[in-house]
Amino acid sequence: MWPPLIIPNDPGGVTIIKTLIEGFIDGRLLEATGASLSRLLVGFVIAIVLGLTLGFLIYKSKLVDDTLGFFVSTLQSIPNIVWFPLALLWFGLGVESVIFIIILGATLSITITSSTAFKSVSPLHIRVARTMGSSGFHLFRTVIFPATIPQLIAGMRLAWALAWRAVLAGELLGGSGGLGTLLDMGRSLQAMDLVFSIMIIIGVIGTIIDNFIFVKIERSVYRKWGIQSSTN
Amino acid sequence: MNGKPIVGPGNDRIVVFQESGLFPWLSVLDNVMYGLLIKKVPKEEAKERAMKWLQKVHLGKFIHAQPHELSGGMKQRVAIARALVMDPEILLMDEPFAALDEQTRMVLHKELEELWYETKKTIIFVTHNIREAVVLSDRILLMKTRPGGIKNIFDVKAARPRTATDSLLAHLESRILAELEQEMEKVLKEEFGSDYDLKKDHLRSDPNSNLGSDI
Amino acid sequence: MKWNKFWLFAVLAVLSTVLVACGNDEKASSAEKDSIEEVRIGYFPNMTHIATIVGLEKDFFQEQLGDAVTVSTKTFNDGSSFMEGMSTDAIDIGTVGPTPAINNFIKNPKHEIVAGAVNGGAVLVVHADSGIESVKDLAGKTVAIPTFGSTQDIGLMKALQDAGLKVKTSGGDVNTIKQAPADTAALFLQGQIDAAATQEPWGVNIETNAGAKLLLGPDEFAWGNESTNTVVVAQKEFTSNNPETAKKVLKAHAQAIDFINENPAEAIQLFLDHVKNITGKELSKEEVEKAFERLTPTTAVNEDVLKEMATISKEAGYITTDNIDGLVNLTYLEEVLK
Repeated sequence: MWPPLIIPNDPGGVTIIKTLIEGFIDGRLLEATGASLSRLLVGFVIAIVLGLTLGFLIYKSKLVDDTLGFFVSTLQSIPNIVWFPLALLWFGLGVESVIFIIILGATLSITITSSTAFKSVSPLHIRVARTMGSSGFHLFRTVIFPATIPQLIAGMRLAWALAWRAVLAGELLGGSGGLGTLLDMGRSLQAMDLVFSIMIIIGVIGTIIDNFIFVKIERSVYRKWGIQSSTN
Repeated sequence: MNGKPIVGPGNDRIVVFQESGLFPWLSVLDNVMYGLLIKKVPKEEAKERAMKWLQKVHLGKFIHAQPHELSGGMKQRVAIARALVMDPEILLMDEPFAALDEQTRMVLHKELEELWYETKKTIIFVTHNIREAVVLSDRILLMKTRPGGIKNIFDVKAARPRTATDSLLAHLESRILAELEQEMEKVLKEEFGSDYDLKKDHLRSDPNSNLGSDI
Repeated sequence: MKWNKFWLFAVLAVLSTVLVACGNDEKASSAEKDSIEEVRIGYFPNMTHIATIVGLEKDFFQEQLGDAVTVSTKTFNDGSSFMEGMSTDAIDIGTVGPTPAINNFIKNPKHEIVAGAVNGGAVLVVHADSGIESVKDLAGKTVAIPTFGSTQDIGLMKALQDAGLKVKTSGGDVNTIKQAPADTAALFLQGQIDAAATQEPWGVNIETNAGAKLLLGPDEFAWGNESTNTVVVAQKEFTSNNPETAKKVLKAHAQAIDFINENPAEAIQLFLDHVKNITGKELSKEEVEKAFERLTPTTAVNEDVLKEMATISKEAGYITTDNIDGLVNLTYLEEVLK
């Protein structure tokens, strides 16, 4: 039942590596990976826009903070995947329900990170900008927002991880294609080689996006700002 | 100011704070240009003016550096350039050199004096350092504490450029110190208890018992 | 930093090979023959498993096994989870569709088919408004199946093959999704799917409750009324170590099948009560009677049909070979039926 990693049990038998390579050659794994990544991208981009807007509103208005802000932090404590049965009813079995879950989870996370970040901008910088004649949206655009970029990046790194989990869980439960559904199929067929292959792909993608995209962005911002990382 | 009451910050009076407050996400040049761009000065002109002022504070070589690469003294110079490039009516400086070491402070005093010569700006300089006040100013306002208000005004009639060993300055310093001590004792007595005395081995005496002989 | 990452990957690689190696351990075989004290039976809450259900309700299994042995049960919604249960030693014997048994046998030959249970009883229903008049119209539509690699999945593939179509996972354009049969009616009502390849009584259930109509009845779907739809499967270890127990179970099974054929009305009622207990769904008597017409309880196994199923499964990429030698072992059944 458990296929070996590289060397097959009997000649012509299945191995994880063989399934991985074959899956790419016949396009099955590639297509599934592409589907999952595209959903991640769409959902994540929308989540960033929504999250930053909401974060801005919460920061700007005390009224919004008290009402929406409280709502947001309660919703955030519900794990993404718990929304799935509801999403299925509202959006059906297709891609929409998966994207809904992504947006929900990632937006809440970004909202909370950004609103906290905006509120914690150094008052000195704000004072400096004010004496220069800045105020209102200009103040936000040129001072508050840039000042929070390191925190926003950290927040987005967290949110993307949530989004990736949401994509896979949603695909697993909903059968809408992509890596999650393929994983479910592997399980249905007790094809553990497929299951492991997909897990490898998921891990690789996660590492690439985290290590090569976010860490790089973080490093370059830190270098520009002169922030020293305490673990070197 | 100019006959109108002041109700809030505005860009005809620029502040230089104790912490330079430079934006770490902008280069030195962009920091100095910031205020000009708010005033809708065209980018090219703003750049020129900023570079001119940065050269005046001797930071011409650092215009593309990031703030974190500069020392404390250099950052304050940028802050001064940023303030002066706006051509304000009044320059407000709130203990701008308090966080710097002695040598840097001396250098910056000289530079500030030069800039003042050139621009003839009115500078309101807040400090706790009597020496600094005496070396830099034409007029010193000594503030009262609890309640606040002006306790005394001293005119500094020493020659410019100021030298540290000028006897007039030394005398003025001790005069100011004596008055200041009264205020300090008031605060310290409140904090530590009414039997606290600034001068040790002093016979306890009521500061009001001099019968006016210090006037 | 770089060296730390290298060691981390090295540890992970070693760990995964160890996990894989662990899975290959063999269980120690039990000491004596027929010393088993609990027989764990698996089945689905479908009418095609009516033999097991009647056998349980009428205590045929318990009677045959005697008081020294306890009978425990586990229900499954589809062949994948059933085979999962058998591979992980959660059940000893039970009824399941033949295709999951075939697929798993190729990967992990630890079980065998010991008897037939039901022929027929599988249908293809379509949404009344879907405009589907024949199998060819299924192109581009969505069809629900109990699970990938299930007997209905293969049955669907055969029907599509005959109409020149293929499922999406084989590069065609008929989309298949996995859904528990008992929940499929709800999907129909929501308009999420256009068709379903399913087992009775859920075929009738969807027709009555979700306005579906029958596209291919039990005589036309898959291999028709001769279609081996459900078989009795047992762990090889269970039967080889406990041959007498296995025969007793099969005797009870044969007993149940005779009972059903002689007392259909009572069998139907037993089935209704049992399903209500397990799934909470109350089916109407008319539905179930109608469904009953569509299946034939029998202990016979049609090996040719099984071979065809294996071939289709191989073409679908579910298995690498269609050689099912050693899968069917009717020796115990033959002794019981003597």
